Amino acid sequence: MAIDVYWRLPLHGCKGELGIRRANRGDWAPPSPGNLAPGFASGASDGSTFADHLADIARAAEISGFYGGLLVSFPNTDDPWTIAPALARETKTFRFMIAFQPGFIAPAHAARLSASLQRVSGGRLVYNVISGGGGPAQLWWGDRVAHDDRYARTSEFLDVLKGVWQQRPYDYRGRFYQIERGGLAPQLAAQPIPEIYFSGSSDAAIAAAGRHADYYLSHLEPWDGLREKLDRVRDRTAAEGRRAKFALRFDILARPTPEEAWAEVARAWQTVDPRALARIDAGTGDSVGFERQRGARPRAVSGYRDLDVDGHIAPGLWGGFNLFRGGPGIGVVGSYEQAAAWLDRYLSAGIDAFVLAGTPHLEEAYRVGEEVLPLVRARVGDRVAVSVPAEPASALSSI
Amino acid sequence: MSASFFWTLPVEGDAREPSKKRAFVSVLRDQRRGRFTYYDYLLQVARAAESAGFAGAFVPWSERGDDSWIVAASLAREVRRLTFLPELEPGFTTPVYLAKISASFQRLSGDRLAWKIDLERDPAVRRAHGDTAAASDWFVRADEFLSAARGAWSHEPFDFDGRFFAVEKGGLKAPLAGRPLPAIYSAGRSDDALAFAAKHVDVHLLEGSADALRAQIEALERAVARAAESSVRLSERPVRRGIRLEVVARHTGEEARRAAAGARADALVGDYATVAARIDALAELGIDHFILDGTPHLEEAFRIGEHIFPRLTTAARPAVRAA
Repeated sequence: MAIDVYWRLPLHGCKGELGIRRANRGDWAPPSPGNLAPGFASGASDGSTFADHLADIARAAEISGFYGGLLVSFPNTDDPWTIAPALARETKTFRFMIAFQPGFIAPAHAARLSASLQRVSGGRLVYNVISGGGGPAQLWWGDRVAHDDRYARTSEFLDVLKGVWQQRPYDYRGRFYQIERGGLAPQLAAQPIPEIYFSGSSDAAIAAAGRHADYYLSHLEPWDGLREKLDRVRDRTAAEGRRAKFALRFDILARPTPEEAWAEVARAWQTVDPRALARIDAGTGDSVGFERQRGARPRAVSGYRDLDVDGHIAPGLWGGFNLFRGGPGIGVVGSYEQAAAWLDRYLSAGIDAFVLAGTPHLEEAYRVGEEVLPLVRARVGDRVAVSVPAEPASALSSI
Repeated sequence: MSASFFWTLPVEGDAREPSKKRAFVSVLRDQRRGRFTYYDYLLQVARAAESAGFAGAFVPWSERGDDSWIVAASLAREVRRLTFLPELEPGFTTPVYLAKISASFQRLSGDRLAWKIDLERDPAVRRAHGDTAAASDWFVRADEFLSAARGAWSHEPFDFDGRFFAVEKGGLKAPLAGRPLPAIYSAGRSDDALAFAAKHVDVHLLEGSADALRAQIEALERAVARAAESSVRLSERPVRRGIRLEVVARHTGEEARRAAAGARADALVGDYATVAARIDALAELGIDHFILDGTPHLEEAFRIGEHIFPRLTTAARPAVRAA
C-alpha cells in the first residue's frame, strides 16, 4: 500500500520565518515593505491576491512530490470550499484535503459541492472532517451543539452524505437530518466519494471515526500516549468490521545539519514573549486533543530545549511550534536524516499517511520534498512486517 | 444611465459535454479522450460572455446540474472582469458560513461576487436536500439567514438570536472583513418575496408579459414604500428592477422562430432589431438588470454581443461592470 504525503496549504497566512510575529505573506498583517501576496509596490497593493500565493504553494507541493495539501479552516482563514475550486483548474495532481465542520453545511449540499469539485478536479477532493473545538469559537460559527452531540451529528452527516451519493431515491430520518427522496444527479453520483481523514481525540470522536474514517488523522503527540490512542481507534474500528489507517500531522524544520536546524529555533525563540508560554496553555473550548497537548508539556520552561519530546527514543522532536502559530506544538527539528528517520519510525509503527508543514510553506515544500522525502527508506514489505499492532512501541524505538 | 447584462452559464449541460463528443473513425488521430471536462467548456462560455460585453455570469442552482458555488469559484480566477452571480439556497449552509466562503471569494476575485438568493424552490426538491422547513417558515428563515449573513459580514462582534440561526460574538475579522457585501438578487411574485426584496435586495427579478410586468412593478414599489415607512430596509441602495430572459434572435423572424423550437414559452424570439426594441421597451419600464440565456450558450453569447448590444438605445446599453 502506498504512503500518501500531504503538505499544508496555509489559508491562515504564511510567514517568511518561524519567528516573525505576524503573517507577512498574505494580508493578515498591516501592509508594509517586505510583505508579499499581495505585495506593496511603492506603498500600494500590487493587485495580486493571497490566492495567487496559495496557488504557488500548491504547485510547489505537487512539483515536489506531495500527494496534495490540507486546506485548514478557522474563523479567520480563507475558506477551503472557495479556495479548492479556485485552484482546481490550476493544478494537475494536487489533492485538496478540505477541512470542514459538518455543522455548517447540510450534508446533501456538501455532497453536491463535493461531487462538483470531483468533476472539476478529476477526483482530487479529500475530506478532513473536524467536529469543532467548542467554546467561543463554536459560537462564532453559530453552532450551539454540545461536544458529544457534535460527533453524533458528524456521524449522521457522513451517513447522509454517502447515502445521497450512492442511492436514489434516498430517504433518511435521523436526530439531526431528514431526507425525503434525495439523491445526486447522475453525472454527480458517478464521481468517487472522497477519502475521509477524521480528526478528534475524545471517546465520542473515536466512536465516530470507527464508523467513518478512512484515515484517522492525529496531531503528533508523545509516542506512548499516541500509541494508546491509536490502539483505541484500531479497536473501535475493528468493532465496526473495518480496518483503521492512520495519518499524522506535524511541522518539519529540517536543515542539512541538526545545528543549523536548532539555530533557526534559537533565532525564533528570541521573539517569544514569556507570557506567551503561559497563554498557549489557556484553552477555552472542550477539545480533548487540546488537553492532551497541554498535558504533554513541562510545567516550567526556561529554554527552548525544555520542550524536547520523546528524546529517549531519538533526538529531533520539539514541542514549541505553537509558540509561533495556533494549533498543536509538536514537530520535527533536525537534520534531513533525522527528519527522515522520524518518518521511518512512524511508518514502521503503522502510520499510513502524513500531513506535513513548514515555514515558509513555499520554500519548505521544495526543501522537504527534495531533501527529506527521498531519504525515507521504508519499503512496503518492511512496514507491514513491523506494523503488526502487538508491539508498536518497540518497533518505533528500534530504528 | 446604462443597463447591466448577465449571461447564464449552462450548469445542466449544453449538449456539449466533452465526454459525450462523438468519436472519430479510428483512422483519425483523436487526442481529446480524458483530457477535457465540462468545466473547460463552461470556462469558454464565461469567456465568450466577457468578450461579448456582458457584465456578469449568472450560475443557476439546479438539482440536475453541477453546483452553482463550485462552478463560480472554479472559473473566477480565469475570467478577469465578469461578476459571478451564483444562485444560493438559504437553508443549505449556515449564514456565517455563507459570509465566510463569500469573503474568501471576494478576496480572490477582486470583489466580483453577487448573491442570487433563491426564494422559490420546489418544496419537494428542498426536502430531498434535507431542508424540512415548513412553507410558513420559509420566508422567516430566509430573512433571518440574510440578516445574519449581512450582520456577520459587517459587524464584529456580532450577535444574533433568531428562531433558526444564532451567533455569539461572531463577525468577520480582518483581512476577511471590509470587503464590499455582494450585491443581492432575488425573484418571486408573492407578497413575501416582494417584502423580502424591499428589506434586503439590490435587484429584484420580474417575469412575464408587459402588462404583468407593470403590475409587478407597482406591487414591488408598494412593498418598497412599506419598507421605507417602517424603516426595515437594510441596504442604503435602492431596489432595482431586473428580468430573466431567454433570447432567440436571428437575422429574420422566420429563422428565429425555427430556432426557438426548444426554447421556453416566454422566450424573446425575433429578428435582431425586434429583440433589441423589446429590450429597449423593458428598459423604459425601469428595468436595468438583464439576465439573458440562450442555447447553445457559447454561440449565443457572441451573437448577442455582435447583433443585439449595438442596436440598443443608450438607456439599455450594457455597462461592462456590474452595478
